[in-house]
Amino acid sequence: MKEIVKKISDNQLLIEVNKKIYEFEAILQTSYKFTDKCYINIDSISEDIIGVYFKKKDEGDVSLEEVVDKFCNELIDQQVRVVVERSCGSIRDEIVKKAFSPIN
Amino acid sequence: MSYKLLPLRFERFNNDEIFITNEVGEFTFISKDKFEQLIKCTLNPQDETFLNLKAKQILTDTDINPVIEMLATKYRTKKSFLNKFTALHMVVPTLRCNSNCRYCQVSRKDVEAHQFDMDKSTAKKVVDTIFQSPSPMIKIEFQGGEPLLNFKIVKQIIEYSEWRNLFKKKDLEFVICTNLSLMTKDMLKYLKKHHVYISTSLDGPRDLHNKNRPLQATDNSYDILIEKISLCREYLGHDSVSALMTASRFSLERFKEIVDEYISQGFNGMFLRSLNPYGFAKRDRRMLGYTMEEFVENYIEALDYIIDINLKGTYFVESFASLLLTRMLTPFSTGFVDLQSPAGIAISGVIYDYNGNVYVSDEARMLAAMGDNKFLMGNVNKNSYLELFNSEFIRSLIRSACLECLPECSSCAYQSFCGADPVRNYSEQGDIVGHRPTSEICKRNKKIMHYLLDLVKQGNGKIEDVFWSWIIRRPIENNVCITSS
Ligand code: SF4
Repeated sequence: MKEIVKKISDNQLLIEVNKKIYEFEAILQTSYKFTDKCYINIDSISEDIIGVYFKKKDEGDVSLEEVVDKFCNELIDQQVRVVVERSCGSIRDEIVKKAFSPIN
Repeated sequence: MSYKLLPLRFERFNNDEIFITNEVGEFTFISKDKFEQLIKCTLNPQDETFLNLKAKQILTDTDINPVIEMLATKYRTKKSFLNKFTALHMVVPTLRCNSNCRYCQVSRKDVEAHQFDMDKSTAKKVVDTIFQSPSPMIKIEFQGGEPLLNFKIVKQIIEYSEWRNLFKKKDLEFVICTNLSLMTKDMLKYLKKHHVYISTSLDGPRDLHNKNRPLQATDNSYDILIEKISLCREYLGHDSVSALMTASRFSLERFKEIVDEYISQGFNGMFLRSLNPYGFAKRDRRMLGYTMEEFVENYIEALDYIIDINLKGTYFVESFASLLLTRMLTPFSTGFVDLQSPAGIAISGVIYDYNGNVYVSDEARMLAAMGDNKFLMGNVNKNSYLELFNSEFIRSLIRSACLECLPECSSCAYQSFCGADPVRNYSEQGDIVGHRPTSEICKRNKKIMHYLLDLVKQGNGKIEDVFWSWIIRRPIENNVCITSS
């Protein structure tokens, strides 16, 4: 994992996420969950790589390394959620549609 | 592939287990290995985990259409609180108040400030508006200020509502929320005749109650309250009086004493409520407030204490836990204005201020008292029922108050048990959608739900019996096990 994490400065880290493994939606949802811990910026680095930049907030005593470790685990969960949603989303829509349709 | 996944949400529950739930809130816990197999569709159909997940409708290896039908029926049941539309109508007969509560969330007015009383014509229009609600059940709840300071308008609203109901034939209920200090025998005779329930506030033992909720005339509001509670019970019956507590900073570390106080005053339940960030509670938050972590820590300790009391034979319910457990363990619909999806604002509960202004919730009125009219629906003196309840404002508000499409909530494993509160989001975080990673309410809900699920997971039959007694609102009889699983 370490080679995808790059230190930019004392209060800034970068994770290079492979687009072939993780979809943008998973990256976005994961990033959202960490917006209380630090400032996050998402940018395209190359055709295959998305960069997620972490910057310490002034307040608090957050370890960026710890945040990044948790981020990587959460990213797996979020990618699984994207996959499950893709396979089941239409079923969910149908359940809700049927639930709210008039009963004969 | 021998089976198909059905819509599911999951969360890492602890180091070893994953919490999985489906669209209607049925849930189970499985190991990480099994979860990986589940997602890859390699679970063995003979495996116990497979059969459990199939029973919970988290996967299926049979024709999917009957399963969708069944899930749709369960979903319809869970969301059936939406069928009724607005049932709870809170009315503020006056903003005047004789209390001096430290954390007053409604910015009370002086007892002589009669310009803050509801007038007869507004009261009539309020009732006319209420009776246009399609809900077969109407609950009119008098809030304040102190409603007893304008009792003549309370009476007018009760009597006019009863008259209107001769034709509408709804299930009509009245509740008066009062500090009881001004309650007289004549008032009680009237309330008895009109079947009015009483909701009062008890914050704990004498010193704590007096500190949080003194009266303007005396610091010793506790003795008056206790005397009046017994008077109310004498006239209206024991169960016609309920009480609510609000936890200020002074209440932290004292939750067990508060529980004991409720039991010794003959209540068989309570709602451990945290302070809402409005009015004086917001202004004086340094003195009165606390972090949500502190509240939850105290809440959990008190919950354990209450469970223990039940295990020792005294039936006593904690209402927030009871609500969540009902959602977790039963298929029933449990709309609860502060915690449902879509949010309960306007479509489940609404409040009519003394001047006829209509707000989407009591909290919205509290915000208005602080000068922010963001959630004002209109005024009964100027707007029709349809203008108030069918406006684009209400529609768009409700659209953005569904957990199913809010950031983080949409994929949260606790979604089926949780609720959206755009007014709280706005007040705390500056916009109605809110920001879950920093939301205090989200933090509270997640931690309490996790704790309750952990207790359920432990499978202690005696604790399960206590939980079921809360859900069915009846004491455990003769220690007979009533759990089914
Ligand atoms: S508010 Fe928090 S706990 Fe509730 S559904 Fe949303 S993310 Fe989950």
